[in-house]
Amino acid sequence: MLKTFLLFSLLAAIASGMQITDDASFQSVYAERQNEEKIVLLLYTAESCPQCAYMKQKVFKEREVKRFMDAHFVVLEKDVSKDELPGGFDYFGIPTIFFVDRNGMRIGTFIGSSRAQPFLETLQKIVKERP
Amino acid sequence: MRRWFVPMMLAVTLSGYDQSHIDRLFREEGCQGCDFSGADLSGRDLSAFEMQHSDFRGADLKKSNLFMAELQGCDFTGADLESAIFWKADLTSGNFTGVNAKGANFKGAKFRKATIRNSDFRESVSWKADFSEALVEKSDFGNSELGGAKFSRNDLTSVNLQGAILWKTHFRDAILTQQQCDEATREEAVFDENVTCRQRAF
Repeated sequence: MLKTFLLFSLLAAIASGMQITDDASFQSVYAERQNEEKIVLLLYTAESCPQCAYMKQKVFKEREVKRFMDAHFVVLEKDVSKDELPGGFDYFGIPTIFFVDRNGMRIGTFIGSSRAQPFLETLQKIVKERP
Repeated sequence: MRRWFVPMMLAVTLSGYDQSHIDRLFREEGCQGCDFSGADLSGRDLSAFEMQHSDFRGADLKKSNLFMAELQGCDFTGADLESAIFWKADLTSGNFTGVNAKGANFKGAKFRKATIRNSDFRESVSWKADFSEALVEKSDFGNSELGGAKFSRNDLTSVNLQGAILWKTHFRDAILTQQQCDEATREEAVFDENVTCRQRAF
């Protein structure tokens, strides 16, 4: 029974191809006790991306967004031109944000930029609908 | 604003394309100086296709992918570009009169010397797009994303920019209304030089 379960789990992981448990920065998030219940906000960015800078410098710092992010999320940033990217987390353009639970499973994706209020609503939806 | 482009779309002949040009387009991944007027190209992958000086009047390009397409000098009068992707496309000297480009993505696109008139660009995404020397008239860019875009030698006084993201948008030798200037300042736009802020023209 255990073998069947393990085989099923392995096949499911291969099929999904979207776990990032082998990523050191991801692992370090959940090494800290205060992050146990938080969701990783994995941001794909680059230096030459003004849209990414807008999200980081304006939207993430808007008062309500910041308060909600501090309470429910940990931000991990990957520069797509420099950093090694986790397998299975493919992207079409930047900025792309993946929302990842503590098991390394993708629970949501946000592509592009937006004003603070609709982004806050996206964050609230992610938290509300998390498995 | 919608009253401007709807009559234009209706006025355009909706069938007139040359089927041999459509065939060549997909066979050779490009067709320059070709007639696609009124053609249904919606949802098609035309990325990096070379289609310079082609006629897209009244064409349906909804949700098409024109990533890095070469579209210099094309006529899009009355075309439906809703939710199409034009990332880094070269649209230099193109005609965008009476176009529906709602929600389209023009990130990094070149609109240099293009004509954008009586068109709907609401909620479009044009980060880092280049609108230098484009004629932009009576068009609706409401709630669009124009961050990092470049406007040089443009009169934007008849354009609706309400709700548009103008963060780090560059204006040079441009004419805006006082209201646009106030919004642009709030949005942290960059006024490089010779930006005139004046009362709305209409």
